[in-house]
Amino acid sequence: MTTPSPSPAPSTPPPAAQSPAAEALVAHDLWHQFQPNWWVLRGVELTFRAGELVGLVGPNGTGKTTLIRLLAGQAAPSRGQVTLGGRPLSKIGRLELARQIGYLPQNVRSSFRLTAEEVVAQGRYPHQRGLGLLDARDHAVIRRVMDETRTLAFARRQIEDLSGGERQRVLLASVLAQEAPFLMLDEPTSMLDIHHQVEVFQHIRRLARRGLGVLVITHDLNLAAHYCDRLVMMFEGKVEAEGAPEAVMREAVLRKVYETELIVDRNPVTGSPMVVLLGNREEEREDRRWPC
Amino acid sequence: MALLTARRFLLVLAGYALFALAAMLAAPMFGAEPVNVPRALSQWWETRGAAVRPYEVDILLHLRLPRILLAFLTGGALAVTGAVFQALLRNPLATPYTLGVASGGSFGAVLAFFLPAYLPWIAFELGPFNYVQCLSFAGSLGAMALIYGLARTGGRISTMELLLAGVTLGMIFSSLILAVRYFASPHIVVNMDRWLMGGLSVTGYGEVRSVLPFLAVGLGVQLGLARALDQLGLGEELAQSRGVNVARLQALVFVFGSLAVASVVAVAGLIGFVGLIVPHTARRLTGPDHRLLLPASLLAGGGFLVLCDTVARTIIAPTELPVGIITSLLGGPFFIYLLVRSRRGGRMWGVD
Repeated sequence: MTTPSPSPAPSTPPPAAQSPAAEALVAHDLWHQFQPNWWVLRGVELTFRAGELVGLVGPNGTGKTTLIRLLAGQAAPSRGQVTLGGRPLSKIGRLELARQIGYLPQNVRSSFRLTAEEVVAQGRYPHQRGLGLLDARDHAVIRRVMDETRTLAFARRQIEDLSGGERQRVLLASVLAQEAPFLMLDEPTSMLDIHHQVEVFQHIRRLARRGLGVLVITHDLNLAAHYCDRLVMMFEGKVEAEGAPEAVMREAVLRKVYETELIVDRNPVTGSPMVVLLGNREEEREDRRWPC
Repeated sequence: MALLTARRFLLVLAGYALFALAAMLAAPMFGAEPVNVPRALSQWWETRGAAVRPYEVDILLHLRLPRILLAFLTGGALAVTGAVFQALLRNPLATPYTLGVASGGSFGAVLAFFLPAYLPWIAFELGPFNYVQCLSFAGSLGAMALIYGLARTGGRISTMELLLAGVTLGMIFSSLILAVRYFASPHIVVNMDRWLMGGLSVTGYGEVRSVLPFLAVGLGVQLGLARALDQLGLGEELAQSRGVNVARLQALVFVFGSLAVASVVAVAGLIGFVGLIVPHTARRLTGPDHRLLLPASLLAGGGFLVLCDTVARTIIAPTELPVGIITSLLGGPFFIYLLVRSRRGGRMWGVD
């Protein structure tokens, strides 16, 4: 352990919980294309505040990942801009941006034998200078986020040896170690079994209650409806519906977007909207007539 | 591995430094002509200022010492660049020669052996550099520019295209080398082959002095990028989101790694294996943290090549073996041992 050195005025911003929720991340008329004449995003308007958990949902290929990458400042939009507290992201320095917005991409793989603890410690990068040896504050943050994500028990194990749920929690801890007030998570639950999915959602909701702004991409509409304060439904590069889960999880919206038979009911226990897929019953009847 | 603290950093590097120092202190004693180092040093002190010196002093100061320094610099540069290229390409098999730069350097050197028979004026000297070194260095830098241009798409280099362009260009240069060899007369071919096998023969401090500035820049920049390279270990996207300028990092690593390789190849030819096994061994011993791994590789690679070169000088003295043969013969089995051991417990590399 390093001895805590009396550091001069800390250069890091205060943790999110103390910062006023006034700063909002806003997408202004975002258009994006990777090739000419093929727009992945077609004019997305979105306001996203600290303290809320927002679920970004929609079918595959509708621009969810592109949108989250633009919001995280990972790429510049072809048209329009993203602002944080009124400032365009393009005007914010890389390290400062990393202290404001944490981003967890899909399918993060480690190319070295890193331990869980090392992975989490890497999240301190935007707060460090020079050789980047950890000071007392870094150690405190690493310990806190690992405690919160319940990853301390396997701190010294290789990340590639952990189970999917454990890995995902370690990666989440690593992003939390950035101490950014905004979190962007691209399908953090996609490879997890159901109880780990619930666990991740419970955890990110706690973070939102503590003042963080969390944007999460997910394919599980029922989980999203249950845990998120707000849903944003993407379809063909645009926001198809946005608002409280009840407002977005309507049969008309879902039928149009997913092109399948379904009904929206209420979860008898929690009361949140719940999708029940029916499939194409006409086709299924045909299948039953011609057993293969 | 535990998290990197100042204490661990210093302790581990002190261990590596001890190894390098031991190798460099032991090496001068061995050779075709045994040298009693303490006696030579005391003679050197007694005859300081004299025009004629005992031959032991001359051997120590003008043959052994510069050679040991060159071996250390060469080994260190190859090991650091190997470690950095493995991180850049996220590929455990990457070596300093993977990206084709050294092949360009080899082609330049082979041309330099071939051409004087037809163009006598080409046997020039440029300051401390002879024409073989100059053409090799030019060949490396030319190859680097070509590969960089090929791998550059949309304002940044793609590591996949870097790998493809580098490996392909390396093959093209190999064919060109074969073509030149085919047309060269046999006694020149012997010289070419000797050069290609790699060797550390020196005449005084000229070679050390000529590579030192290039290595200082090439290695200095690579060591300075250690913390950013750590971030690359979890993928470009995550590194980018932490504030690493990934495109700039990749370009810097390629250019300055190539500069180090180009200067080493120009004076020592192709010395294989150091750039592959030393970083892997250091990674096993000290973990994947580049802030520790890169200086550790520098010291371990330098010490390792000093040892190999000592063996190459003495094993069939007074004849010398090319040091590249020794690095492979000593390093290869050791590396296989590491592989077998890691197959039994844990992996060497995260994804495999």
